[in-house]
Amino acid sequence: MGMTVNIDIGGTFTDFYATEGEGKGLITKSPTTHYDLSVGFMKGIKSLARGYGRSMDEFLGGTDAVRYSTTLGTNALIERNGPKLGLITTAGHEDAIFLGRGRSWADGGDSQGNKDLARINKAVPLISRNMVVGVRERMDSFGNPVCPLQREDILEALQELVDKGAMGFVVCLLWSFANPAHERMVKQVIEDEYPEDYLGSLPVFLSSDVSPKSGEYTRFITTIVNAYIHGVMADELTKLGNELRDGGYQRPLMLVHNTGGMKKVSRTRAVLTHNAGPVAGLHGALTLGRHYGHQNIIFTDMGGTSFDIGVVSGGRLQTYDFIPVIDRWRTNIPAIEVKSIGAGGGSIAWVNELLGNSLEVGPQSAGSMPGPACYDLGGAEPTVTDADLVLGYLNPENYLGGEMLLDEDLSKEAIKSRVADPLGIDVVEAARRIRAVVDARMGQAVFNEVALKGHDPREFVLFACGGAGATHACGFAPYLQVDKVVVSGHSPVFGAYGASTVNIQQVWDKSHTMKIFHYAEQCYSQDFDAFNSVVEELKELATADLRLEGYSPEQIGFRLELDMRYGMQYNLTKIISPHMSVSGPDDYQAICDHFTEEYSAIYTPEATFPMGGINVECFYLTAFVQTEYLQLQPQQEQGDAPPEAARRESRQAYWPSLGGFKQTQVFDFDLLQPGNRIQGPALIEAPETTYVLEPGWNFVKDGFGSGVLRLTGAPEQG
Amino acid sequence: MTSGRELFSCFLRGTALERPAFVPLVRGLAARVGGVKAEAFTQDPTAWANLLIKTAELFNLDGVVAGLDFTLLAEACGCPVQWQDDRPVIAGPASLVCQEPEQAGRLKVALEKARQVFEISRSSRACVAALTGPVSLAREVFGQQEGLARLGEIKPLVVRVTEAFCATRPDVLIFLEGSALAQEEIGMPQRKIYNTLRNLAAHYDIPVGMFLRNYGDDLPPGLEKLKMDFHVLGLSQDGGLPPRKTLERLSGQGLGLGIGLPMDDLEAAKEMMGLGIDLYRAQSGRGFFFTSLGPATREANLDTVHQLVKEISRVRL
Repeated sequence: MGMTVNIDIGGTFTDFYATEGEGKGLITKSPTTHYDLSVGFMKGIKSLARGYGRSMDEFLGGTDAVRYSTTLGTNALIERNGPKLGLITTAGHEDAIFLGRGRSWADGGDSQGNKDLARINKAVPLISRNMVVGVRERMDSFGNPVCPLQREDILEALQELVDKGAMGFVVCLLWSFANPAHERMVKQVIEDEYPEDYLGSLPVFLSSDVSPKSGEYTRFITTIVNAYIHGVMADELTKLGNELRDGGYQRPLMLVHNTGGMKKVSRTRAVLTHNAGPVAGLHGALTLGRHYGHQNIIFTDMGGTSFDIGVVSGGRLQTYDFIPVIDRWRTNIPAIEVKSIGAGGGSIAWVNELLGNSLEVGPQSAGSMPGPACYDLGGAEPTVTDADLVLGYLNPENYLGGEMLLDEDLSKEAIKSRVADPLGIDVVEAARRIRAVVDARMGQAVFNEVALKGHDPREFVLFACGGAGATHACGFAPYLQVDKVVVSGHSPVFGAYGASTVNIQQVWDKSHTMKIFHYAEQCYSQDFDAFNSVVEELKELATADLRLEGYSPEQIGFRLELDMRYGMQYNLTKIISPHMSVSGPDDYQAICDHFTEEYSAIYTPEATFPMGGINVECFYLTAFVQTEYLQLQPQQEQGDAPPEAARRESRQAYWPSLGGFKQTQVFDFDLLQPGNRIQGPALIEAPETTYVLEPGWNFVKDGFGSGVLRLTGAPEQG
Repeated sequence: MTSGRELFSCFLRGTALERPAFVPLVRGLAARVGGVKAEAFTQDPTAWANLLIKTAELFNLDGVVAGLDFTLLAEACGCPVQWQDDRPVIAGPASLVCQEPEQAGRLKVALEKARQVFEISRSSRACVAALTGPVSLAREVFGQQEGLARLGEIKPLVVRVTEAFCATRPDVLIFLEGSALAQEEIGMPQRKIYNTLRNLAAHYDIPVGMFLRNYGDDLPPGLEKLKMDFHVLGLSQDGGLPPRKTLERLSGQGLGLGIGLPMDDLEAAKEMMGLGIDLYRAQSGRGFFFTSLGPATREANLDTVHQLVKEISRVRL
């Protein structure tokens, strides 16, 4: 295995993880440079090159793959700096995206804001109403043309949009996923009128290409979001690709997808990159869990800006049960489910006067600029990192391996002026409360995602990842009553580590309704071609696409998932199909049995409704090519007692359960041996993170280089 | 032929320069080149940017300097500004420090000018951002007695302006400091504010330099504690050229040293050039560039500027 460089951009830090051969991976972090992500990107790569003792040319020239989970698309949505788009839709349906669906006005809003119905505002649409035009046409639900589309109508619509300044077109017609002929005709006309060799050529996005699934609102919105972020991402990624090439990199840049795979930039749809970093982290947890033999994992990642939560259940990643929301928009992409809340090292502590001066932490973050007050970048807001510093948990001279010096006086000043003085308490008490509040928020959020979704947290192992994960794991883990907390050696850059484990992969989906069990006749469908032809169509698309990436059909693996439901019901249940193709009623029966099993597990067996018959509604074909990644080799355990060399100078740290500041032993994580045990209270400093081992907790460094934490005493109620 | 940008990049990388780069401050000169009053063109960012670029092209300079002069910052501190003889001057004491200085008034125009200048010049010329340093600004705004003590009051403003300036993506950022910093021992207040500004610039990956003038017989004690990436020396407090030993001392620190040349006195400029060339050669072509002794005024001799450019272009290791 050659050199790979894996990068995950977060709100505060950009994480890097490089691997070469079977050797130990190298990790580094660089502040995220929101003004130009490529600056922080290239800084980190320089740091890795230095770490390997090579010049940039040598390092990048010898790199086989650069894998990148980017937030470029997310930023484009937040900053609203996408192009002015025109939407061409079926006449009479011009208002569909503005009416929304159900409670779509609340999508992506914070829970408090969504309760304030008097003041809540709908999100400002990505396409304004005057940029939407209808054309007379209609397909029926089976894809048969009912009303033909006229070229003159298209030209008229085009002219109107171009006159209003459209920089690109989104074409979303009714039932186009069943028959895309009309959408393709619109595209053809646009390409005829604005050919690619003209400066005025305009990009066209068809809903039947981007999202060939039923449900016009989500299909339209998915296509619009994709079109909106496409141009911005293309420009930035081209620039980044050029910088990498100038630096000596000779291979294509790979982008991690939110579906748990990765593809070349040139073969990636923009909408699939949203939230890819946390998904990569969750995939890393799945992979690491396999090393440990854990099937049930609660994945958490506490970074500088957000706290991500994901679940591995039964050795599988979960896709969204309902509808993934991007920014404020419902989409229908087959993304892996990862929940994020605004809690991290950079989360700002503030006093809420409207709630009787209650202390709140987040969701606003100081980000990387100005960052926590102690970063000394001009920030004056107190953050969780400031509180950790004041409480003695962080070493101001060994933050990020000494790359960044922290100023404790600035932390105290910020906490005093914004929290301690308004609450009439001292700075240390204020810092303690900040920490307790953020830990409680995270603990509660994880509990909601696990216990309230039908899992028993006690059957799970908690993975505490992220730069601040090890610092706060003992604080939020008690809310879950898990037996074991694993803090991987890669945890400070876990998204980047996860990116190193994903396969070349893409999900191809298509809506196609078929009833495969008829209750009245008590028989399974005899129409096997209908099922097989959809799968074959998707297979052909996937194979052709991966061939263009340079893979032969023999290297490609497939997995088929199906959205299914009982007739007359609304909710869909996704299952992994036991068969890639069907050749007899027994195959359909196996699929139905599997669906019944999954449905029963979610809604209880009493809720099954075979009387409605059983339908397949959507096909998801995952095509993948296995990639090599660094396999962790367990090291021999060396005994309980940490070596003397691993002991660093002790310092004062605050332990609420012990009544205040106590002189606390500090250890060097890198110098600890597998099998070494440490009883809390203690602080363990790794180059990119600090383990805060509270009283009552026990730490063991295991053979995979992870810290394993267990609560051995009474849980502390900070 | 090596472009000015390539030359300055060598300086920033610490590699040998084919010849020293010449990057003077030319705002006053730009007004003359354009045949317009500074008061007029500084109201329009595009006209201002175009004039700076045109001036750099006319004299074939290696870089463009977009500056935020002292009055811009003082105005953001609440000082009234008047124009006298086509120069802005402070007409009263500071009142209320502006909370979002980069969003309003002349400062907004100046930042937009810098953004445009750098955007257009980036491919061929070094892009230098220069602004009045916080210590000098505090003294000018609050007076000699209170300046240092009230440094903290202007810190948020200076931080915001510096960040906005960094966001225009210059190659380097230079703080212009005078006697307020140059004639005092560098203590904790100066170190604290410069520490923040340096961290801020580092976030934007921009090296930070200090243009120091009005210094005494020796440089201020503790100057190195400000950890500047490079220094530029102007005239001393008695109007003299920087002494050789001082130049030699600074040339070994960080990225190196810039030397200011008088733009209106060819003989004095040649004397300084000679000194600079010696240092350039002694350092094997590394860590050295020329600039002006301060912002060139509209009275500067154009022939002198042409001559300096010509002379510098002939320098070789």
